[in-house]
Amino acid sequence: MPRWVLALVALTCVGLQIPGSLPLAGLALGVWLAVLALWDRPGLARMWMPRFWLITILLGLGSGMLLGRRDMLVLGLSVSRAGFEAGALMVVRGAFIFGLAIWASRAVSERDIRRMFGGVGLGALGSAIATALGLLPELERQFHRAWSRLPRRGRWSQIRPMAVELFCETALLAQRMAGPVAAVVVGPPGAGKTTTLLHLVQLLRQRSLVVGGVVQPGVHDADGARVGYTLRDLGTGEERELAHRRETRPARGVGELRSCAERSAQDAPARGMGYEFDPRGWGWARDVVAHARGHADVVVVDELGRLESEGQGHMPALLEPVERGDIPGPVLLLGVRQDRCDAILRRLGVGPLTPRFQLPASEATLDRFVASLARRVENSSLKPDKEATT
Amino acid sequence: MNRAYWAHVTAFGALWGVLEITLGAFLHTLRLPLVGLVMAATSAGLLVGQRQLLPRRGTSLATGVVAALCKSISPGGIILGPMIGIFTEAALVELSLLPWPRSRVGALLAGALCTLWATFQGLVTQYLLFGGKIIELYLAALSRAGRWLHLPAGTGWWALALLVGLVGLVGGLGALAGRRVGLDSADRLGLDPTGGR
Repeated sequence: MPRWVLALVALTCVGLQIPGSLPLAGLALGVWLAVLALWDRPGLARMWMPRFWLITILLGLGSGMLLGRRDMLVLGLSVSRAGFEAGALMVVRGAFIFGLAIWASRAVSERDIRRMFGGVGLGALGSAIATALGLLPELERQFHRAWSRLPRRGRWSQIRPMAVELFCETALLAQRMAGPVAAVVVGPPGAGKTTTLLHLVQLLRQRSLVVGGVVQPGVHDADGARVGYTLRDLGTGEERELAHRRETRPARGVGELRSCAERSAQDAPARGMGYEFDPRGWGWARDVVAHARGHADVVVVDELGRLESEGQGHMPALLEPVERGDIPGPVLLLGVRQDRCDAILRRLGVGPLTPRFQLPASEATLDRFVASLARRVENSSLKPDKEATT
Repeated sequence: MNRAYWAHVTAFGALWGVLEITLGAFLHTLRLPLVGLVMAATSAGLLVGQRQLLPRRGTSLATGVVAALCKSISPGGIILGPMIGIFTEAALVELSLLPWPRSRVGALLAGALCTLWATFQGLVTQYLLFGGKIIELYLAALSRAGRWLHLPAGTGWWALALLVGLVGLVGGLGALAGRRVGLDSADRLGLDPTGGR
């Protein structure tokens, strides 16, 4: 019998329960039990739950003895007819809804649920449920691992650290599912993002992490005004010119120019719009980033701003692996202009749990940020050798 | 609502589902008393803790839907009741945290409502199954028991109030513990404590 027909019968029986009349409720129960007996024998068998039925019948008898005026004698006991009828209705209704619930919980499958949610415009929720079902074994393993790692003595006192561990693992799992794993250094122009990134690179390398990618130090003239940008490959130290101020194109080599890292304190804020960019610079940076993605734990990309928020500049290099489905990939450490940060993170599709290092900040905050970054590297299944060992 | 949001909801919904399927099933198998209360306090803690990481509105409700559907694969007989229970707990947490997703007061309220629901879900279910007569029956039984024990009128109501208070307190403490775990996790993940993401 098609499920939709059974669903229609179920609805009719529910309708018969509404008036609250004992004969109609009894008829509905009879029809439904017959349906189960004919087309869902296992469902009928599952209704055999002695404790439930005993409680239900006792409730029915109890209502006969406790409710209403006692106007009837049963087995020498004076009881109420109205109470007995109410009790009988309770038993009949209970049996019917119980049988209906058994059938419904067996008949509705995961695929139906997804389709049902999709049908009412909640496709994302349906997919979330389907994905969650797939995640259950992994999370269960995580739960058991976290539990077994606790010391046998004083295990209960360790519940909170275990819960924190489980929470962090789950949040990072969500991050990996969502898209690139990133951490950002945020600040207005001239706040020292590149200097901070270079400092972070040092700290990460001290933790034996492989760091690649590009930073984008500013180029300054003799008066300390920023006149352009260079690109620096963090792996090789090689530099390329990327941009110069329109009115002040420098007629000199990159080597003569001083970097932002050396002079961030006196750095004059750049005016964003007044630069001319060399497209070959972007191409070179894309190659450097692509190379770094292949071998580094952390890939740095600096000075993301207006261009990137509009999908240009470094953005194609960052989105390329996402479009290929090659995510999460290495952890991205991004230097981002404050006023464009949300737009850039949205465009990249990074998770809502992305740590931000807001400039200016203290040394202690920096240490915490590095620790969080290192943890993200540890938790992401990025490097082929890590995948092979897990 | 973006992909990252749904990934978060999915992962935490699955975590809740796992807790219900493993820990919940384990405790129910042991037939320990107050298992429902413990599980409800744990669930409240999980949802409140999750909101410390992602305070966006609707997160608890969506997580509840995912967890309830995860529960559908739980081995055993009837799962509709627990599924309704999970979803209702999520809705109660969502309502409590609606004005201030990270506040202590919201967490306390969320926890208390969750455990109260878990304790009285049976009664609500019986009301739905058997109709309004069941409440009359219980009240009549209570009143008769009071007369047999020669208790002064109104004692039952005080006992009920005490029970509600204790149950609510357990839930509130569970939710506050969950809030602490959420804040510690946010700190460990290096998230912005102001929630400005």
